[in-house]
Amino acid sequence: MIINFVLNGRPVSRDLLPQRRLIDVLREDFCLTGAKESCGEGECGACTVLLDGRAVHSCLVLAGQLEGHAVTTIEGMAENGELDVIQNAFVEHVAIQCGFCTPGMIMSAKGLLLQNPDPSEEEIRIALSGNICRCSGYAQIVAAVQDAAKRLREVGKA
Amino acid sequence: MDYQYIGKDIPVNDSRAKACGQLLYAADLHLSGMLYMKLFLSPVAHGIVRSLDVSKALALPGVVTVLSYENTPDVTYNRGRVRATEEAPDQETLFSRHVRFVGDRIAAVVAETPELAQKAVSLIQADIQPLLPLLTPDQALAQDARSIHEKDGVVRLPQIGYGDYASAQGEEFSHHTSSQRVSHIAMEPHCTVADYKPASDRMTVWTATQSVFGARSAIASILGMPMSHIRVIKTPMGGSFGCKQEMVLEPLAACAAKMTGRPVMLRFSRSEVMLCTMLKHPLDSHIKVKFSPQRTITGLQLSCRLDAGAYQTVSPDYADAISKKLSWVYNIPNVEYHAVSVCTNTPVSGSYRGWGGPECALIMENMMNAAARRFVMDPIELRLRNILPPYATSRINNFSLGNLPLEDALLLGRDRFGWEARKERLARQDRSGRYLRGIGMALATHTSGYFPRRGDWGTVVVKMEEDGSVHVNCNVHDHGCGEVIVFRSIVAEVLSISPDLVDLPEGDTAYNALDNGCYTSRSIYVLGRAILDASNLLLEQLKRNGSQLLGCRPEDLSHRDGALFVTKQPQRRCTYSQIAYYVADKGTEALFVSHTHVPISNPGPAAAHFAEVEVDTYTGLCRLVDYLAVHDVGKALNPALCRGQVGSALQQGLGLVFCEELKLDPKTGRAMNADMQHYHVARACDFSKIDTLFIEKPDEEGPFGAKSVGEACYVPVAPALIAAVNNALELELSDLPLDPPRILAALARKEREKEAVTP
Ligand code: FES
Ligand code: FES
Repeated sequence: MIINFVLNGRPVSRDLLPQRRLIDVLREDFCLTGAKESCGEGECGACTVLLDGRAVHSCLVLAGQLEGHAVTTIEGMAENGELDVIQNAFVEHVAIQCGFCTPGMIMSAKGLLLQNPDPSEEEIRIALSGNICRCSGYAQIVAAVQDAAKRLREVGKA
Repeated sequence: MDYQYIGKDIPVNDSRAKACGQLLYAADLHLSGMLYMKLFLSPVAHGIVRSLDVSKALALPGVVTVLSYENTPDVTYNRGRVRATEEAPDQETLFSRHVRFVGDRIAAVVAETPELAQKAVSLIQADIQPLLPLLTPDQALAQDARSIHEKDGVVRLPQIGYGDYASAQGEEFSHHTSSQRVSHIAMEPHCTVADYKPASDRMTVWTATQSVFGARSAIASILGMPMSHIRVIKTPMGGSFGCKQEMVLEPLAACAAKMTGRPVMLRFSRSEVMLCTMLKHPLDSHIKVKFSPQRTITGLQLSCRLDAGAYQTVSPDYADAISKKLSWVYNIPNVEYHAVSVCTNTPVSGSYRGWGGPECALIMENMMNAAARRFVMDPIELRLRNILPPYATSRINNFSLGNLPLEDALLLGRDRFGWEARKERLARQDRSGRYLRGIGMALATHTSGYFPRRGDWGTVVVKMEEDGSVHVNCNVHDHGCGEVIVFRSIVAEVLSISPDLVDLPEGDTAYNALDNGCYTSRSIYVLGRAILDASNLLLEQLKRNGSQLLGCRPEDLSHRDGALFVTKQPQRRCTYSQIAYYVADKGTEALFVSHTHVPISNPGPAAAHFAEVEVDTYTGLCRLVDYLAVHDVGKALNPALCRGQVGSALQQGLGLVFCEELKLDPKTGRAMNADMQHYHVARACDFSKIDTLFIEKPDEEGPFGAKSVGEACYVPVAPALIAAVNNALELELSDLPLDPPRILAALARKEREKEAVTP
């Protein structure tokens, strides 16, 4: 069935089986391999993308649900090769180690900051609780999100 | 000493690519014509396949072939063996008729898409004659695990130790510790891509392994290929913690590629990772320790039992490693160690962060904390009376432990954590309330390499390009914790160029000299030193040629920011690039250094961890309140990455102590929670502040004085947390995990005992 949706800001129209998982559609049909599969059941957050600005697990979203909606993946964050504020904050705070959780973490952080530009540390920790990181103990990640939120507030856009 | 790059918080080399989702892990690779492999696994814990019907699977359009024990090499191997000469029990084959656990490999489908491969797997039918499963070491020991393996089902180590425990004087104290099956949960599930070209008989394998040479050795011996026809390339690793050490997927994918003549991807789901790779060993231990009236240890007797799972793999070595680490922290005049590694019809146990070190610390530190409670002594004080001094010799394997600042770690930690003040505050807490708090600590060391074991060398080639940038060739396996950027920083520091100008690709058997791989926290201490020495040799070569160019002596030259200059006349200078072109024009040598470093030492990094924990006595849930990790790292080459290691150690230690356990059905041996919905790990909201304090007393041999940290920081976490819980509840728990049912049961027992004495 032909499904029309917006992917990283561009309208797309594709013939997709509606029961296919969004993560597979992204990785296989669009070569967007930034979203990672780690648990396949909505528990780890490695596959997180934005659906209409809200963080969702792409392993739990089906192609049939996309009609008329907008999907943003990690590949859609950088503009003209310039990292976005959150991506930069993750790099600078050494919040990235093996990096397998990173795309999902950044998308969850983006989803949070779109809803809540000034989150407390606790709100950040709760928002990121759907994303598992096995490498860092989360401290640097939380610091990166706090810093990104501050920088975004300064420039007046979340 | 003021460094340009060493000791600075430099982000990992590929973090920008990671932040953009551009870095390709093995599962992101796509080769044209690539096929997908899915395993057909045993549904029973023990049995013999009477007949296997793969006809329906083969008939499915898109299925290319089915592999099974019927059409693949019947070579027995040990997945943990890195070099063919290593002694280890060979018990495993690619696929098996005799299935030994739920998840053992019977067959595999190779198909055009992953979905088809999965569908075809569901069409395979196996008629399995069940055998009595031996699900616990007790059951297996009763018959020497002979029904599982004819040979080496049970491996008893010869007694290890020194002195004579029996004749040691003092008050005997016994203690028991056990721990459970735990999965590594590296976020990247295992994946291997193998490509075989029949016309040239060449195999290329991309895999996130800890040892490309180990993988090559396994493939060569199982498939009977010359090693020169096999190239194994390490892909970026999304965490390992030991789970990508053994050769599990590589021989399977290579075999499928060879049979089909096409590229094949084998990617495990999370459940397959949990069932079909390796787990942390279930451990059972009994320790006896004799203490003098001054509370110094006079002797120790320990017996350990490891549940190896269905195949021994590395377990006998693991059991041996526990003994080695026994005499690295405390002065113990007499040691007697017994261990047995038992095969059972359960998923395979194998390497897990720390290789016996965390097990050793769990046993020793639980014992020390329990002894301190028995003697009504402060646990830090008890340790101060027993720790080894700096430069002590490990009596079990006879080498110097280096400057080993155990006392510093204890005293600095006691101060920084406010140990005494916390003790006083907690002594006054209302013990009738719902929430109880406690503090605990543990002390540990670890290795920085294999030494004095053989096989611990590092070979490096460093070359300078014409523009003054540098290329390093070394068998590096970054697990994702940032070794590559640290190595690049070492080169950059020596040559005074930006780390960004140093290229340092990871393990590739086609280019690297033979190396065992990244185990035992050896990378920084051994490979880092090799890279440091090679960089210095390159600098010498630069100075020799620069002196010709500038008309001075090499010793008159200094270097800074990619250029040499005459120390006393800084305006007389030339850039590395000018030297590189000069050397190229001369045409008699290359700016190229090859160097092998063989370590002569292996310092133990000292670590003391301190925890405050709050227990909810209604629910049995525990919450971390505060944590301090004091780490002697010699020199923190990249403090942010060192702190990352400590954070991850705590993340995993919290899991080990409070919530992680792969549970098996006691009747069928089937896993009950082999997925992330039912297997719980610590999340961002489960953490509080982690305070990390580094002790930087340089080691004499390590690069810039550095020792290891990656495994060392995991070693003391569990016993520190356990001690805090025991302190809170005034209990003696030492069987992991301390999950809510266990804590509530212990509280109920305590309540009953109290009622029994106060009618
Ligand atoms: S892979 Fe989607 S949440 Fe884990
Ligand atoms: S950086 Fe490895 S899982 Fe987060």
